[in-house]
Amino acid sequence: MTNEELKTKITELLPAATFEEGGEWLNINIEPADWLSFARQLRNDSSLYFDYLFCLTCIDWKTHLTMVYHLSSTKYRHNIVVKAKLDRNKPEIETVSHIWRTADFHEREVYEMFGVNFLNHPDLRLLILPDGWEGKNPLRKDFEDPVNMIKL
Amino acid sequence: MYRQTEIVSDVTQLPPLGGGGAGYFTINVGPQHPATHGVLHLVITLNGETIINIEPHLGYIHRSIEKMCESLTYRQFIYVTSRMDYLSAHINNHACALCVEKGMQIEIPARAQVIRVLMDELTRIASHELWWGAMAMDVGAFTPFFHAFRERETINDIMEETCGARLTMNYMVPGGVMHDLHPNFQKRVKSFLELYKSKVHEYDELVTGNIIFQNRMKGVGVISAEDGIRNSRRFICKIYGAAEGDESIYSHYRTVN
Repeated sequence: MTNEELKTKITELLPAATFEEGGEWLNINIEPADWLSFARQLRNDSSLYFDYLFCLTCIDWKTHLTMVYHLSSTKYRHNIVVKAKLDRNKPEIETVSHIWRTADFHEREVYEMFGVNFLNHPDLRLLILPDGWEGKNPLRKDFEDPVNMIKL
Repeated sequence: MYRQTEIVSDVTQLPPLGGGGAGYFTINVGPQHPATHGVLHLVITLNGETIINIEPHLGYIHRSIEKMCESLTYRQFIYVTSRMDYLSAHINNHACALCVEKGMQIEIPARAQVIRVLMDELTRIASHELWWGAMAMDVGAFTPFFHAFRERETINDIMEETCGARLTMNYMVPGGVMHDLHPNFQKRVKSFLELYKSKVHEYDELVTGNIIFQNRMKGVGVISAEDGIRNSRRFICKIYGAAEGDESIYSHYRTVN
């Protein structure tokens, strides 16, 4: 499907979604509360069939956090980017690890690096950081570590 | 938090090994181990030679590249991307440069585009040389490693002439490449290709056609197409041509294989 067709289809599925134009792929902004049901539709709808989550990351904008999901369909070869704005003080979003298994590890990484709480995640614990690392999230923009970090 | 691996202080508490019982065996591989090719700690539960459970402990060589690039310019960041996968520095440089160019909507000269692809392809061959050489060595064959490295070194020499580096090239930059190819480039690549074509059948005789290697590898670590996509193991999917439907992005690889 082309971006225009995707846009029409997704507006049908989720009227509350807003779009960003100009990029190579269609950017879709959604509310975190809509994410789980929307993700199921993206994965299971026969004309969308987004079976491949190839990037899951988070951005710290200092005022809020944004979860970013890059989805691709190995069958139709179309891609989209889904973004959800989270509250920086209490970032929470539903896990999608049961829809795309790769999200399991990636969500753990976002959890430790940005402190996003993935609701209903089966195994939400530190992935890369060592044992006993509490509270600080290294990829937040205000993270400071004068001992181990070299200021560039 | 990592789950603490249980350490059994009383050996008699361990389930019996062999003898028909469910004798699971837990071993630690790494962090320093010749077969991990890097620093990786795996807690593996085995039943005979079959892995029942595997728990990876990562992060030993995490260099916080994401944090570093928060304060680097795009041009400076190229040097970091060379080190992400030091076997295919060009390809990582290329990806980073493309990303910047796409964002800034810059079109680079056609010659630079061609040079980039040539470099990527040579890097890919060099990277695969190391992969299959080391793979054969891991299952006990030492000679293939030297054959693989003979070719790999030839490519590295070509790279060195043009970029001045053999491993972390930093050759592709946003906007094109650092400078033009070395005058010898064409001649040397052509002679390399001749050498390579004349040797490929030897690798097949020595490694992939070898019955010992085949017996050791067949049926080991099989991943279904569905699992491959769900776990986003793109590289593996490519090798085995995993996909459903001919429209797939992997169908090309399937016809190749």
